This record gives sequence, structure tokens and C-alpha cells, in this order.
Amino acid sequence: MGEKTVLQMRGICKSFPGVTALDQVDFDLREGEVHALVGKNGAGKSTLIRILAGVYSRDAGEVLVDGKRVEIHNSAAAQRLGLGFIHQELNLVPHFNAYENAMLGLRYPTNMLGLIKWRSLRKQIAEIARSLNIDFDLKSPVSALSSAQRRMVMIARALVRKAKIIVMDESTAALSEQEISILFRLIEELKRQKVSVIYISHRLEEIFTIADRVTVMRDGRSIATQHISEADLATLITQMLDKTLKEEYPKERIDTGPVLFSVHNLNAPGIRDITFDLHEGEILGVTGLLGSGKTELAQALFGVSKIKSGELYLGGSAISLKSPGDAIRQGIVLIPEERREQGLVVDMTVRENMTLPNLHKFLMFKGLGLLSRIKELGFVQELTESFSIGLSSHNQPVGFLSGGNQQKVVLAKWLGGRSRVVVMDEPTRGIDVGSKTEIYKLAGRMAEEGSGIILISSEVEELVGVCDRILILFKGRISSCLNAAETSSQEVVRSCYGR
Amino acid sequence: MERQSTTTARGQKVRGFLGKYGTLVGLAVVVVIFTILQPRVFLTFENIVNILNQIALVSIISAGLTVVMVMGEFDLSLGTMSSFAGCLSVGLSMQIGPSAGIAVGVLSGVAVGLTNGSVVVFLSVSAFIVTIAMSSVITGFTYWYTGGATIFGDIPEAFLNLARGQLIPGVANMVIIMLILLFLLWMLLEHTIIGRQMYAVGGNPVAARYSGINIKKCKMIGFLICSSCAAIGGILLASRIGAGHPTGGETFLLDSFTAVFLGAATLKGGRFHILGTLIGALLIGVVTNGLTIMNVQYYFQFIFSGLILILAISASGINRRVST
Repeated sequence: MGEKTVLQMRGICKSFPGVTALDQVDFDLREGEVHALVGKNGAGKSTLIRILAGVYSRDAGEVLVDGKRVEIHNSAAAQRLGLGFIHQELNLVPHFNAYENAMLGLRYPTNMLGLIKWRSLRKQIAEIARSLNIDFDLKSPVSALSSAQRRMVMIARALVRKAKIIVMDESTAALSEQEISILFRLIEELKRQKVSVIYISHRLEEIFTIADRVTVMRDGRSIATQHISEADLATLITQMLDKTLKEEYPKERIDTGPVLFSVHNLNAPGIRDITFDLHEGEILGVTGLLGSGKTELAQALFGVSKIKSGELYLGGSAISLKSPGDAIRQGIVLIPEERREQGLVVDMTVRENMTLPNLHKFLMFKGLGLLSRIKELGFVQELTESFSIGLSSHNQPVGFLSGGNQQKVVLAKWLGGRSRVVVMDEPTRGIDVGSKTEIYKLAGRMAEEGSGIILISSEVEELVGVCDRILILFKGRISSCLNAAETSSQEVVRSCYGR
Repeated sequence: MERQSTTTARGQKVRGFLGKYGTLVGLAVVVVIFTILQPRVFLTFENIVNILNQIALVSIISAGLTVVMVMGEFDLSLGTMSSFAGCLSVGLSMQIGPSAGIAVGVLSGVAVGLTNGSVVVFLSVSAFIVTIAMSSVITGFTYWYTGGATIFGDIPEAFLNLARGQLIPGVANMVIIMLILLFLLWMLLEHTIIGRQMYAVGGNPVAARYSGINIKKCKMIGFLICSSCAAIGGILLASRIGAGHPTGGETFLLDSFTAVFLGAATLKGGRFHILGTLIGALLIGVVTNGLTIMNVQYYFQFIFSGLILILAISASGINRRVST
């Protein structure tokens, strides 16, 4: 880490109608440094980054790049200043391949006839891809890539632009442990090339591996900046929450009941010979590397993908699942991996989203298909209170809520029905520590009421802290089953790698 | 708060305002203009009744279109559908009686709707292609049935009374039919399970499926309603003019899309809904009526219609959905 300061933000203020998003925020970045930016959802991290990206204009304060005052009015200006952004939501063109996406918005090199010099371009990008250990086909459209691979395309894009400052927003949220270590190796390489990184992550553990300094934000203010050697996890969490979080994983061991749901020799796209039992009141963890079949398992159990063979028994009787509708009628529900794409209709209101799967419960009279808004509101009010979902109105479009609150809405959707088996696919991805705890509590509450929970996650600590048993998937099969009370994070991670 | 794009806050406010009140403001503006220009004619009881008569048919067809557009689909066959249903019902009512003629006319709409829906839903062909193709098929059937000529002659009184009659003195039946149909469709979209599910399908089909919604069923019902409304509009048109014209429903296509998009720029900013569609149809009706009163050449009306559609789409903000 050099002594030269490449970026300085001083006294940045920004308010939106009714909210002060940033209040006198200071932030600086040195050459070749990884500076982590942490805080709960809504703490102001994204707003700060968007000011840097030229998406928002600041109300007060100044931004200096290489010691010079700069005005960043749009993304082109940010790019000229050597700023590269890898946002949580990737802006890739789905049917373009990796080359085209890496070049997106750039001027293609052309020959005398004005034709694109594809050969040299491919060579250049392929070299970058090699340095990233990218082994997938760069010619296939990014829509065919996994979310981890798409993120790698984004990183390649920033490198093609020769950015000197790269902002990574939740870059590891979709990555497996293995891919995270690849990403971290890449970041080390960036540091050697004197590229500076602003690193935003909810995974606090990982910043100790990668960051040089860390700045904590809370309620639109920068609370503290410290060297990573002087920081520790508990302090960071305290600073983020402004209250000491005693237990991140509020697991209450409850006695599990009889077998609720059995899966026998299930074969479906991406998974093979899956056999397990889920008990009433049990939280069964499922983990594995990316591509091990976690999401595929969720989709098979929810009737999204076609089951090729195998039997499912719910409460002792055989069931067949041809569509999500079938699964829901049987009492199997899914909290999907991508909450904005799969879990929510973002421009519908909180109320409309929450009642969507169980509309028949909110009829004015039986038989007549008319919905009663009063019944809906009663349900929604009760849930927003008991889930402590922060919102100003139940008629607010759900897209306006923070990630954590959106996820709570997705969970709340399923509390209206008789959910017997709740499959949660990465329910805590990209949401803040406080919301995570509440989501664990909710899972616990559902288990207590006799549901069986299948918690699919790539956050190992979470699984060990919350689950009763943990199934490890490896290349589409169950490779082992660990008792959460007797295992450790290390053992789970080892098992994921097939050892 | 985190969903602004690079457009300035002020530009957003203007668009937000236009998206919510654009159509209402537009309606007020044209009413004021025509009242000033033609004070003795425009705001009279007769003329208002006249406007309602003029918009009744397009409102019915637009309301049907609204239902499919809520789900992100659309129907380009509704113009030819209404022509065909009109000709068929006139012809049959002379041959086998008015009620049979009307019933078969409506059923032809049901059949086309089911066909459109099936191809879109089960063969996953885009509605754009399916309904354009269907439009050509229906035109063929219309010319086959009519021999290319307008059907008129000894049309039963009962058939003519369907649109023109006045069960309530002073108000043509077609206005009453319009109000009833629009009320039913409004109830369907705003207050029933299937309506809510339709909005969810339009908002995010994946999330809708993951919520257990039968998307195919929703879309089938939508296409069925749309074509049926087009057929009803066509039958009422035939009843009003006392003839079955093979291209009589042509102008409904553009007008109904305009009404629906204007409707999306009414009160609910970017969301298709029946009340908005009615107000959109009203705006079109007022403009057409005003221009007619002022003796503006008919070809200008086409120019205005096209321009209003473009304006409506940009004001409705359909192309800028929540994106963060």
C-alpha cells in the first residue's frame, strides 16, 4: 500500500425527499489499497458509491481524485477518471458473449475498412480472462453463464478499461468459497499493479482476509476508519449496529418431530440420487460449491424443473410435482435465490406481494371471487409488525424497500398458507446482519410451528449456527450429512471440496 | 430512494406528473380549447351525449385490450375481429334471427381469443406475430363471408336496437352496455383473484410462477376477453350503422391502443387499468368530436390520432419500469 492518496471524499452530503442518505461522509483511498466499506443495508454505502459513479449528484462536500477536485456528472466522466464499478446487480447484455460484454460501451478497435479487429481483441480479453482463471467459454452468451461467471465477466470488463480504482459491491455474494479465493488472488494482483479497490461486503469475515483498511458506515455517516490489524469482527458489528449483537445465530434447539418429508432417489436436472428425510420442526441445511446442485435441488422440490425419477413422500403419502402450483398446494414453498427476479413483483405493492400466493384466503365471501382489501390489510399489518419490516405504507411498491426488508416480504408471502416444507435458497444473501438475524428467527418460528425447513446456503457459519443437520452436495449428489451440533465450519468447508 | 437514474430530479418530477395526470390534464386542456373555440356547440348536453355515443364502442374494445396488456401481451387482431363479428352478426340476424346472430358474433370472438391464447401460451409464439397473422386470417374470412361488399338490407329492428335503442330515455343502449362491461372488467382486474394474478404475471412472470400462479390460464382468459370485447364492439358498430362493413372496425385498432396507453398515464403512472382506459377513450372522443365540430378535414384526424398515440406512450412511461 502506497502513501499516495488516489481518492478523497470530504464532507459528502446527500438527501432525498424525506431522507438524509449521507451526512458529512469522509472517505479516502490510497494507491494499491483495498479499503472495505461496511454497514447495514441503508447505511449509505450504495449512495456514496453512486455519487462516485456519477449516478447521483452530491448536495455538499468535495471529491478529489489524485489530489484534484473533480465533478463527476455521469458514468463517462467516472470512467475517464479511472473509476470502475462492479455493482451487485450486474449490467450485462444477456445475449452478448463475454467479449462483447467486456467491450460494452467501449470503442472497438477497427481496421482500415472500419471492421472490428476481432482477433486481437479476443486475444487481449482472453489474456485477462486467463489471469482471472476463467475457464468457461468466452463465446457463449452470458445468459448461459452462472451468476459467479457473470461477475467474472464484469471484473474482466473493468480490467479491459484499465481502471485505477475499482469499486466492488457485494462481489462475493454469489460466489462459492473456491471462487472467492480466486477473486481474492485477483485482488492481490490488482494491488500489485497499484490498482486501488473499494470493497463493499456483508460478509464481514472475508474483509479480514482481503482488506487493508475498513470504514464502517451507519445511518448515512462514516463512523470509523481503522487498519484491519486494529479491527476485529465484534467491534465492527457493534459499530455497524450501534448495539452489541450478542448472538448472530439465535438457534433454539427444538425437538424435532416425526418424518415430514422424504425424498427417495431423486433425479432431476443437475442432481442425482438424492435421498433424505426432513423431520417436523427441523432446519436442514444444504450446502456445496457452486454447481454442486443446491439451487437445482430447490427447483426440483418446488416443481420448477422436471423430476426424471424418484419418489417424494409428504406426511407419508406419495406426491408428484409438475409445477410450482402443485408444490404450493401440497404445502411445499420456496424462498427463491433471486429475490427481485423470482421472489417479488417489484412494482406491485407490499400488500399485493404478500398476499399473492394465497389470494383465496382473502375473499370477501366464499364462492364469489372478490378480494377483501380489509382482510388483506389485516394480514399484512400483522406480518409487517411481527417481522418488523420497515416501510412507510403497505401500498408502497416493494421495489423501494431495502434488500433485507424485501427478503422479509418474500418470507411473509408464505406465512399465510399452510407451508409444511419451506425451502429457502440463499435467504440471507446480500442483506445486513440485523435482517439476517431476523430471518433466522423467522425460520426458527416456522420450525417451531411444525414446518420442516430446508436451508440452502453457501455461508457455512450460518448453516452451523442455525441448522440441525447439514447435507453436503458434491457434483449433484449428497456426499455427506453432518450433525450441526458436532461439526465445525472447517469440517463443512472440507466436505464441500469432497474431502 | 435508490432508484433514480441519470435523469435529473426535475425531469423525473415532470415525467412522474405526466405519468399520473398527463391524460387528465390533456383532457382538461382540449375541453377548454374546444369550449373557447366553439362555445355554443361543444359543451352542450346533446354534444356530450354524442361524445359518449362515439366512445362507447372504442371503450369496450380498449377495455378488453387492457386486460391482455396488463399481462404484457397485446392483440393486433382486434380491429379485424370487430369487423368480422359485425358482418357475421348482421348477416346471420337477417337469416336466422337477431339473437342467434349476436350470439354467433360473440362466439366468433371467443373462438379467435382461444386460438390467439393457445398459440401464444402453448406454442410460445410472440403475441405480435400471432395476432398479426390472425388478423390476416380473420380478414380472409370476412371477405369470404361478405364477398367484399357491405352487408345491409332488411335488418331486424331488434338487432338495430341493440346499440341505438334507448332503454333509458336519452341514453343509447350501447353506452349502457359499455358502462356495464367496463364495470365488470374493472371488478375483474381490481377486485378478483384472477385480476391480481394478471397484474403479477405482467409485473414479473417468474415471480408469478414461483407464487403458484397458472400463467397459461391467466393469458388464455385475457386473450379470450380481448377478442370477445372486440367482437361485441363490432356487433354494436354494425347495429349502430345498420350495416356490416368488412373494414368497419379498422380504426378501432389504433384508437384502442391509444386509449390504453393514455390510460396508463392516468392516476396510476405506468400501470394499465380500466378507469384510465375509459378516460383515455374519452380524450380521443373529445378530440375527434371537437375537430369534427370545427370542420377539420378528416385526414387531419388520422394525423392527430397517430400523434396522440406517440404522446400517450411517452407519457405513460411504460418503458421505464422499476429497474434497480
